[in-house]
Amino acid sequence: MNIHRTFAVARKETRQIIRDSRSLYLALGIPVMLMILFGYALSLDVDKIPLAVWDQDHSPQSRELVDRLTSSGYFSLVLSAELYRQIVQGVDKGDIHVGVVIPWDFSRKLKKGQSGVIQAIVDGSDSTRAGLAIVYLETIMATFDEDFRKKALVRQSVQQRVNPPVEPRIRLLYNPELKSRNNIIPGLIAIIMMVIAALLTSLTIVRERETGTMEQLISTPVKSNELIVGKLIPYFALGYVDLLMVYLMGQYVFDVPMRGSLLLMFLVSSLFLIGAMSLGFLISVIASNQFFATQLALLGTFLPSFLLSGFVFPISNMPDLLQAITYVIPSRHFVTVLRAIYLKGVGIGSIAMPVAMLAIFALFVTTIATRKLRKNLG
Amino acid sequence: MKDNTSDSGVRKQTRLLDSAFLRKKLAAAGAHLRASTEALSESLNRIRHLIRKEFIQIRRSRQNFALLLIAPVIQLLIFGYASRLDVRDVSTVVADLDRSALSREIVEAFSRSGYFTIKQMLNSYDEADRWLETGQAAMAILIPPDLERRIKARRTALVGILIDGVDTTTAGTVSGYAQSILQRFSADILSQRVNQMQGQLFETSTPHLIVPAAAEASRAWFNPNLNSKDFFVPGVVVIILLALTTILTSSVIVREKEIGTIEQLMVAPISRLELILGKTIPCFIIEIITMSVVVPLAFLIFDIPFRGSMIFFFATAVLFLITIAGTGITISTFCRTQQQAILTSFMFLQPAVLLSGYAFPIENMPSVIQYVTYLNPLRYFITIVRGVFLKGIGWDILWPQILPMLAMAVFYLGLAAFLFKKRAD
Repeated sequence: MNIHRTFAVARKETRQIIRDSRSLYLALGIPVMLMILFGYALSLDVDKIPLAVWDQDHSPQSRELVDRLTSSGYFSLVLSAELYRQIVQGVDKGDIHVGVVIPWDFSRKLKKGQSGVIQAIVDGSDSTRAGLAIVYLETIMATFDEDFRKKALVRQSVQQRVNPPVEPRIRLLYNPELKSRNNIIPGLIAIIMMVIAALLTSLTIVRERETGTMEQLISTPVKSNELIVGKLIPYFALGYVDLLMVYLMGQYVFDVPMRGSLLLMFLVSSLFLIGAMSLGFLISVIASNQFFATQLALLGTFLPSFLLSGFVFPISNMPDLLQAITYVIPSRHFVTVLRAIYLKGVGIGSIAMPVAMLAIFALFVTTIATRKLRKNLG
Repeated sequence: MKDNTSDSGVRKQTRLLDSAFLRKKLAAAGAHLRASTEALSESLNRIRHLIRKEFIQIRRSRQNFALLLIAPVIQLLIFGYASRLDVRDVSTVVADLDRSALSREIVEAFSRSGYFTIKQMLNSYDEADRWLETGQAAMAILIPPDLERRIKARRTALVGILIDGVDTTTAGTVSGYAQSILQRFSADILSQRVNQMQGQLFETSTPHLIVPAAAEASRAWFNPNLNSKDFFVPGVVVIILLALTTILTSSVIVREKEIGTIEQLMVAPISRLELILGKTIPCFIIEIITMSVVVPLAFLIFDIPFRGSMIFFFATAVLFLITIAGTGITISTFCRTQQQAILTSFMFLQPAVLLSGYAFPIENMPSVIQYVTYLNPLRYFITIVRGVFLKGIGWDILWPQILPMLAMAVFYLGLAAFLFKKRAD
C-alpha cells in the first residue's frame, strides 16, 4: 500500500465532500435532528393516562379506590361518568384510554366477604399504553387489597398494628428514575453512525460509475486497498465529528450520565465505524446505480440497526428466528456496548463478547469489500 | 315614434350583430376546443411516451426491478416482527437464600405469572449483580435467609427485587408486575391469618374466608389480546409506502439531472407539467402495485383484523400517496445529486415517521412538538389506517383526518409544480 496514493485519493474525496456543501450540511444536520427528536420530542414514558370513572357504589370504599387511582400519578381523571355510553363514546373518540366501573354492590360484597370486582375498559389499540395501564391498575388494586385485609385483621384482633408479611424492596439499577432518554441517546449513537455509513459511503464508488469517472480511476495506478482506505478516511473523519457532536449534546444538553470510560467508548466506536463504512463501501461496489445503492443501504444497514438492535424494541420480545438474526447485526452489539459503558459504567471485561463480535464483523466486511473491488478494478 | 323606430333598428342591428358575433365566437370556441382536445391528446401521447421510457429504464436494470419487488416484503417482515413493545419472558435470576416452602411459593408465583422466565437459581446476591451487569438477566429476585422465620414470627420479611432500568419501558412494567405479585402473596398470608384468628376467636372448627379479594377484571377493547402487532403492523404498511414513495419520486428526477439527461428532456417538445406527470405517474403505478402486494400480505402473515371498508381505505391511501409524491417532487427540485436527494428525503422521513404516533405516543410529546405533528401528513393517515383496520370506523368519524390530508395534497402538489417551473426556467 502506497501512503502517497492513499492520501491522494483521500484528498480528492475530501474536496468532493466539501464542494457538495449541501450534502455536508445534511450529514452534520441529520445527527442533530435525530438527537433533538429522540432527546426532546419522543418519550415512551407513560403517565397521566386519561381515565373515566363511573362510581355506582358511592361508598367510602369506592371513593377511597378512586382516590388511589387518581393520586397515583399514572392516571388523570378526565370524566366522572354516569352512563355506560359516556365511557364508550370517550374511548371511541380517543379522549379516554381507561374507563373504570365500580359496581353498586362493590362495598357490600367486600363487607360480606366476597370478591369486590371492578370492571376496567381499556383502549387496546395502543397495546403498549394499554398493557402499562393494566399493570398500573393491578398494582393499585393489589395495594388496596392488602391494606383492606390489614384493616380487617386489625379490627378482628386486639393487636394495634399488623406487620405486612412480605414487603417488596424494588431497586431499579442503572437508571433509577426510568428516564427513557438515558436509554435512547446512547443507543442513538449507533444509529447515527450507521446512517452516515449507509447514506454516504454507499454512494462513493457507484457514483463514479454512474457519472462515468470510474474509467479514469481505473486507468490510474491506484490499487484497490488504497482506494478503499483513501475513500473511507474522509468519511471516517466525518463520522467522528458526528460522534463527538452527539456525545457533547448528550452530555450538556440532555444530561445523560456517562459512567464508564470515555476512551473505551471512542475506541469501540472506531471499530464499529470501520465495519459500518466497509459495509457501505461493499454495497457501493456491488450496486449498478445510485438508487439501488441507497435502497440497499437503507434496507441492509439502517433498517436492521433501527429495528433489530434493541434500540427501541426489546430483542427479548422478538420471535426466536429473528433473535438469532440479531446476532449478526453489528448495531446490536454496539448498542449493548454503548449502554453498558454509559449507564452501567463497566470496563472491557463485561463487554468482551460484543466487542469481539464487532471486531470480527469489521475484519470480515473489509476483506470482502477489498476482494470485490479488486475484481471490479481488474 | 321616430325615436322608437330608431331604437328598434338599433335593437335589430345589435341582435344581428349579436348573432353574428355569437356565431363567430362559437366557431372560434369550437375550433379552440378541437384544438385543445387535439393538444390534450397529443399531450397525453407525449406523457405516455415518457411513461414508457421510464418503464423501459426500470426494466433494464434488473437490480432495481428485483429490489422494488423484494424490498417492501423484507421491510414488512422485519418491521412487523421486530416492532413489539409488549413485555413477556423477562429473563430472571433468583437468589433464594432461604430455600423454604414459602420462598419456593414466591418463586412459583413469579414463574406462574407468565411474564418471567427463571433462567438460573443462584447461591449469592453477588452473582445476581454480575448477571445484571452483563445483561444476561433483566431482573433478580433476592430472598433473604430469614424469610420464613420472620413471616412465622409475624414480622415483615423484605424481598429484594433488582431490575435493570436501562430499558425503561420494560423496567416500568416489570416493577409493576413484581410489586403486585408480592403484594398479592402478602395479602394471601394475611387472609390465612384472619381465618386462623376466626377459628381461635369463635372456636369454630370450620373457618370460613371472611376477607374478600378486591379483584378486578380488565378488558381491552378493539384489540382484546393486546397484540402489539395489531397496533404496529398497519403503521408499518404506511411507513413502507411512505419511504418508497419519497425516495423513488425524488430520485427519478434528480437522476436525470445528475447524469445530464435532463437537458435532453428540456429541449424535447414537452412542457414542464408533462415532464412532471410523465415522471411521477410511473412511480405512482409502482407504488399502487406495491400497496396491493403489501397490504394483503400483511393480512396473510400477521393475521391483522380488517374491520372497515376496503374502498374507503384505498381512496384515502391514494390521497396519501399523492401528498407524498408532491413532497418527493419538491425535494427533487432542490437537489442536484442523488446523494443530496437521499439525505434530504431522510431528513423528511425521520421526523415524519417519528412524529406520527407510530411507536411514540403523541400525547407524551411536549406541546410545541404536538403542534408540529399537525403538519405531518403521516399522522393523519396512521390514525385513519388504525381506525379502519382496528376499529372499523369510516368517513363519519374520520373526516377530521381526511380534510387536512386533502389540503396538504393540494398544497404540496402546487408547491412542487411552482418550484419545478421556477427552477427549470
